Amino acid sequence: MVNLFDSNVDKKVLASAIEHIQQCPDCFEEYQKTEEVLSMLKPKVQPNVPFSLKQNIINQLKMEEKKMINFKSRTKKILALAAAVTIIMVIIPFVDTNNYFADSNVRAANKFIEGSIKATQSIKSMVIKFKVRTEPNDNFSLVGTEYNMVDHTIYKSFEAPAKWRVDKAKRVVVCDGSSQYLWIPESERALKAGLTTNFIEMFQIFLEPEKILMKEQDASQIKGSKISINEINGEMLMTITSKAQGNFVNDYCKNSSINESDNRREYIFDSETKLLKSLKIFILENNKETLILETEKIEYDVKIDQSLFAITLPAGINWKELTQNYTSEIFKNISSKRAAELFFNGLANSDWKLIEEADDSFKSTSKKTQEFKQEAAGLVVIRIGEPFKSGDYAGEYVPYVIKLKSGEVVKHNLALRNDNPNKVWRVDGGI
Amino acid sequence: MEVASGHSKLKELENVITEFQDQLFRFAFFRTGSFDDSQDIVQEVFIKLYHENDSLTTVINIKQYLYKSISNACIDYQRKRKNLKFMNLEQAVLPTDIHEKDVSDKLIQTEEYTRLERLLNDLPNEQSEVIRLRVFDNLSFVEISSILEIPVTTIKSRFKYGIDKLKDKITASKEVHYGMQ
Repeated sequence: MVNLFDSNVDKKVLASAIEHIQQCPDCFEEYQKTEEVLSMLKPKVQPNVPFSLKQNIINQLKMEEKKMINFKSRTKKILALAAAVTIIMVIIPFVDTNNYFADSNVRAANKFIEGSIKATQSIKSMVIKFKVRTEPNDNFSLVGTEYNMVDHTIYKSFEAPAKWRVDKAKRVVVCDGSSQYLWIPESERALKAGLTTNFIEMFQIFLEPEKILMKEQDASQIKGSKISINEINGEMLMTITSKAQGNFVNDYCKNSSINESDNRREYIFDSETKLLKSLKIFILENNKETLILETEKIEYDVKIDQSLFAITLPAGINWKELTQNYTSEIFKNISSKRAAELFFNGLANSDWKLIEEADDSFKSTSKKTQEFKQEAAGLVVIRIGEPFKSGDYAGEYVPYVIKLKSGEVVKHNLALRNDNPNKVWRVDGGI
Repeated sequence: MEVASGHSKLKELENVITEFQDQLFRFAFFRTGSFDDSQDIVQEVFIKLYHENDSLTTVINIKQYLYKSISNACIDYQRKRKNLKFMNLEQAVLPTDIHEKDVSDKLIQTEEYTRLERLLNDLPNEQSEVIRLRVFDNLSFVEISSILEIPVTTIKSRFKYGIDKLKDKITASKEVHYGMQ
């Protein structure tokens, strides 16, 4: 009987045993009981192998090999009284911030980062060309393994007052030293705001290279983050692996931004100038790494055409001042679910005045907005679900199902936030 | 003897890790109940494999080699922690940097480990280990025999006695359950 439960049981043995079991009630009962026990013993869930396991092993072995090369090089140098050691200066293995050994490596990493921060502070201008897996017309922070690479360019003049420009395929943001301007040609949206506004979301950090390094300096000290620094042939490679940040009880936002994904960031610095030469960011998902951001070219102290730090709008379109001073009484002191109900009822009844209290973009006279209004008017609300939070988004998501006049059924999550001084719910996306 | 260059040997190791890391990690987890310790054990086994062999392609029956190594590493681990039979959920407190989805997944997996350990807890180690290798790791009796270096007939009898005891245990628990109705 026991042979029946082997993984590679002979087919003939199996056939004859089954024939016997079918005719012998005692053996049949025994067989059934054994199956029952085996079914109880079968693990219902399997642990996931950590995505970093393979990389940890390879890194550790590479580090050991480099230490060996280093040792051999030094020996040769002493014996020959020569002076030609070209590789291997600092090797810092993956860090577990729990132990003393790791702490000393964190300190070494910090020392290197501090040197690079000083070097970055002396540059006058910078142009970074890079690609990101994202939607060309969506927010700057949106990334996803399912998207194609989209070209981006950052121009930065560090001379006071600092000016910069960030170009994404279908949106551009410029800072002229006193204000920021967001221009989205497709929806004819033109917003003006103060210097502290974060139109460019995660790319804010790219504008100031010293903040990249400071951020990574902080990240290297967060428990669970892993950092390695390795100098080879005039280049310093810094790799940081981080876990997704945010609340993922509902994982709707998981992997939708770099911060909200398990990721690995690979920086290469020039050992001499200590300036950033390249950056690659990978999202780690289901034991697979996907390149999500890659710099193509980083140039320092190059001449930048000053006209890039201004945007000329098409005739008839004017800059609209961005405000956080929302005054709606209707979208105040209610739940996000109720706000979503009001919003969709407004769309159903073409109550644009009500809608504009929750979403300024409906005030636009652009063709796209008018088309959207026509499409949305008269919709039927099928269901509004329970709100949830996900990732590091400050607002809430409200699931909804609606039926448009065209008969199309749309199922999505309305993004609403009320983190403004008057706590007014604002529609932030998802329509 | 064939000696692979450092680079090609690392490439060979990468391929071996890709092929075996899932099953070896599961193996270690269902012996230790600890994610961190399982990761350490699996890493050490692969690093040992790399150091002890000039070329990984010449290792005879690498699967058997890895399972034997990881089995020994887990036995060493258990010896060190012999006073801690179970890891309860309080002991399985996870690092604070791991987000809630991970925590939830890991708690479920740790609960499953605990459930299975409770089932196997009353069996002699030699029987429970054969059952683990056969059921958790889906190894054949011949493979188990070569890993444990015990005749196949002994492996089969240990499996049978172990399963028979579990049948009795389950029957007894059902009788208690029915008696309460």
